[in-house]
Amino acid sequence: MANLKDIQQRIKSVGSLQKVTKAMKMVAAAKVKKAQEKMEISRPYSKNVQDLICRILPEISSSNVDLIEKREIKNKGLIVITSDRGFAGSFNSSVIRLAEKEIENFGKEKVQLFCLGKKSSEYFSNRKYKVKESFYDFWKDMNFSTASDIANVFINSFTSGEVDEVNVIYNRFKNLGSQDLMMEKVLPIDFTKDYNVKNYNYDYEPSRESTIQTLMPKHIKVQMWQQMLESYSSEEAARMIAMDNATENAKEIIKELKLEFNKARQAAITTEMLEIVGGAEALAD
Amino acid sequence: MNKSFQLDIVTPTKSFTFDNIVYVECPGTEGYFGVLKNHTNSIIDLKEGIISVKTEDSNLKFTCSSGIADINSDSSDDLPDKVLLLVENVQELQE
Repeated sequence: MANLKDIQQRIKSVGSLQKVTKAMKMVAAAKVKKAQEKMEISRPYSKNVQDLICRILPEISSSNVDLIEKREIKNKGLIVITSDRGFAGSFNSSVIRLAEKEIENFGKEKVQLFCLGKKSSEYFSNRKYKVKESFYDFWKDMNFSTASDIANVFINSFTSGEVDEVNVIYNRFKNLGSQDLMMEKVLPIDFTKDYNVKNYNYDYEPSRESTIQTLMPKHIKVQMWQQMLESYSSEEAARMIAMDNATENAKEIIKELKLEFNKARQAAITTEMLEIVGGAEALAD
Repeated sequence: MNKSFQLDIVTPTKSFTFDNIVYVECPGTEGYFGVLKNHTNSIIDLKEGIISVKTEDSNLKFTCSSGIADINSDSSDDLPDKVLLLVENVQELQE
């Protein structure tokens, strides 16, 4: 049996670990809330851009718009959104697993990866996948211009013909306890279902074509921004749950250690008393 | 007769709504343009520049990135006159 001092030391260290996990849980909860607020704020912009596109698109020839051009898919682009840090349960591994499955299905050589977050970037680079671009260390100070820069990279790949379709894999925030693993098509944009057929009779300056060319990248960028926020919320929610579990586990360990400590203490007292009794009897003799 | 309309400046990270707008001046890609009540329905590309807003009792100025202006003064629907500016970035200028 371990001695009393050792057990006491272990109780102390598990106790401080518990404090750390508890603090991490609270920090994660605050970050989820912040990301949710940002999501809420971005919705009117996204909705208005979509409404405008749906209003203008039926009025022009779609062959003039690069980003809705459907081509034979020879090469694919895949955006994989993970985090920079671990301690978030299966948050990263589920995204990486789905991405890997998708790559294997289509052919390793024909998929270009755009990795967001250190976890996916390291995983795919180490395994010699075709990582076109990696982006990390931005989550802490994430802002719209980051999303915009990232979107520009894969928009360029699509318009230059390097890839014929771009998909994104990420975790969508459902609630604090769960996330949905999503795979969505980003490019070419598919708007056919949402066309607004009402004739609005608008004047365009300089032209309908130029307006739609301005709006399409904006739509992609705001979508990217929202997907990044969804993923960030999910990451922090997953971390919150993981840290909550770790705090509970630490509590259990402390309980067991205290029991062990009391047993050891009791044993020490019993031994001491036996020694005293033994000593007293020896003196009486 | 009421000569004011509503102005919404919407970005991905913040939004402003102003009522009682009398006049707005925006940086169009083909030059600055002004909007009063009953302006023709228009969709105009914006470039980086300064948005000047005149309400019934004050004047405001904003710097903005490129974007789109959606001017809706359709008398056939029940919606009030409205100018919507969709830009990626906007910052209020302090006089």
